[in-house]
Amino acid sequence: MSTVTLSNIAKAYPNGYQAVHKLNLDIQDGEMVVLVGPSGCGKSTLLRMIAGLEEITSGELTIDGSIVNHLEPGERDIAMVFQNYALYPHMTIYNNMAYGLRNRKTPKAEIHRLVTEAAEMLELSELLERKPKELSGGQKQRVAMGRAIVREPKVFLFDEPLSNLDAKLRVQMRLQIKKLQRRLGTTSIYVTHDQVEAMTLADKLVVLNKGNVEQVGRPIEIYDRPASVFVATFIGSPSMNIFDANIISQGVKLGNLLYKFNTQYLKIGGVKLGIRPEHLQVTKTNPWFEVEVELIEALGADLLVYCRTTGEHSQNLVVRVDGHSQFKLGDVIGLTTKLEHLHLFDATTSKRIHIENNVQPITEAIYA
Amino acid sequence: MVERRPLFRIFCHVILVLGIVSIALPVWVAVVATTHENSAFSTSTPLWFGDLGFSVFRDLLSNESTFNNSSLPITDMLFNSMIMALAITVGKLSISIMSAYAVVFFRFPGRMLAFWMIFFTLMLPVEVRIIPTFEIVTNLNMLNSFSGLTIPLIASATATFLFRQFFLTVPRELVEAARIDGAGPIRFFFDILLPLSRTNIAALFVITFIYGWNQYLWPLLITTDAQYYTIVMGIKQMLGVTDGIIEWNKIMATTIIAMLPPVIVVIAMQKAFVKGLVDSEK
Repeated sequence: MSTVTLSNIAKAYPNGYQAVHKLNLDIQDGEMVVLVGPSGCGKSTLLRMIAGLEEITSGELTIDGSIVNHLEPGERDIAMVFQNYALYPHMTIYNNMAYGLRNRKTPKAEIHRLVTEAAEMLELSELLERKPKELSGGQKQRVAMGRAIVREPKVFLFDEPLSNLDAKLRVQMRLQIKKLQRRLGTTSIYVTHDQVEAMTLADKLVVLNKGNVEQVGRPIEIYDRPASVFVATFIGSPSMNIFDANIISQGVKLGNLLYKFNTQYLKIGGVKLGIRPEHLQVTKTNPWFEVEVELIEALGADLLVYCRTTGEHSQNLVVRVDGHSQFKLGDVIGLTTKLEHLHLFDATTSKRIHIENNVQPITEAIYA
Repeated sequence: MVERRPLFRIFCHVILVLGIVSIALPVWVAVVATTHENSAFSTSTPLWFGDLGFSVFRDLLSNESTFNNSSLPITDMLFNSMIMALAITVGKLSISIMSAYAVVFFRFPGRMLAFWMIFFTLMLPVEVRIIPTFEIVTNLNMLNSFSGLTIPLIASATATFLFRQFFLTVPRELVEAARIDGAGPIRFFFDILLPLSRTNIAALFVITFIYGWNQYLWPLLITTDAQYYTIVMGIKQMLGVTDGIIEWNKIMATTIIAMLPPVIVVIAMQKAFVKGLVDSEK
């Protein structure tokens, strides 16, 4: 059982590229931490630094209180699951799982016990004498996990382990990983670019962008109160609608619309206004603004309606509505939302403006 | 494009048969020649078996007779050739696989320089560098010795290059998985890289063995002591008769004996050889 601490961890490549900026992160014992971000955000680099596969340019990495910066990966007591499984092609499944233990001079009987136990847990018992190429993708990924489990490491590292699997298998494996992690209670760090995986697996979600931490928190906190425009648009699918708006003394002005509320705690000026597609409702009476339907995607349970606001300063937005709603292209519909679903972000820094506690409800929305 | 017209197929077969005949005829003549008395060759080249059977082979191998101006029994020459070919093969493979390992998997100053220097020697065949090599071997007192016969031929850019190309295809994750499993560079080399290179090693073994076995110029230059003659040299020397008759039947028998080891190696390793050249198991 163990904790991982990153303090001021940075990675710069010889060509000057700064992949990870001074980054601080505390990972508690038994926690499942998911690093998520677009490609090139430094999440894999960060994981590989924790694994010891990449050198840490500066900062300190501690596992269980002791600094491991200069330890070889094999000495850090970690185990890693790779995206392309990275099984040894010439070894049987049994030997694949046993290899790390043999290198650590674990007694034979102990190896046998650990491997058979892990194989049972992962339903691999029948396959132990096979070679990796005789296995399907899902089975290979289970073997890769088995290889990690038998080591009984302090920390599990997952590097996009489900990316090579088809959609159905990915959901199954996701659940299996979650169950397994709960059962073993091993501290885990999981890298993915898939926000569904990130939301469902994480105890603690870390959103990374360009080598910086954008936000750390429980998944639902991040969904409810994204700390920046980047997080707001990255977490949640489809992305949050972001509008350019203005705060004036009576409220927020969006295009020709004015949402009236008390703005005494806010700075007057440009602001970014965010509303999630699922928080917009179609209404016939008193719409906040009117939009024209441009494209409809039917997902079955839901309908994604891509629209454009009418009038000048028109902006694009997406609305998620019930799958059986009837719309035609070119329809003009009215939309409304609730105040608690409005997100305000600073226009220049893109950081969240916290309005939750100091703003009175919107009294009305009027055309101005 | 696959054509299925009958005439075209006949044409293809004719070409193939011609090709096979032109390759096989000299071998056939050699085999046939071993069954004739030597007098048979003064008038014409026999194309069908004579009545001696295997007796020429028996003479050559059993009483270890020397003939013409070759002063060494052919069993000894076979032994020399075998040592030379095996030493060159094993040496070449182990040196080149290790240098490829260093060049591909380690970052050290001058890595690319080392690689390019190896690569440039590809462009210089043995014949070009034979004089300086000869001088070095002389200065090192390695004339008339097995080390002189084999060591200069061991360095091989071709094999290094082939192994390098193969190593480059080994996924980076495999190396990393091994590191996390606590395997150091030496463990990784023996536990993972060598088993993966199995088919490539087999293919190179065949090629290098034949190369070593067929060496002619180099042994000719550096051996003056008959004790170190190889069989390929021996055949040539049997022809150099100043007075007397060239014993064609024995020469042909020797040629066939000299051909056998490479043939055996090719047949034994054929499966792995083809696999090593065509695909790799990953």
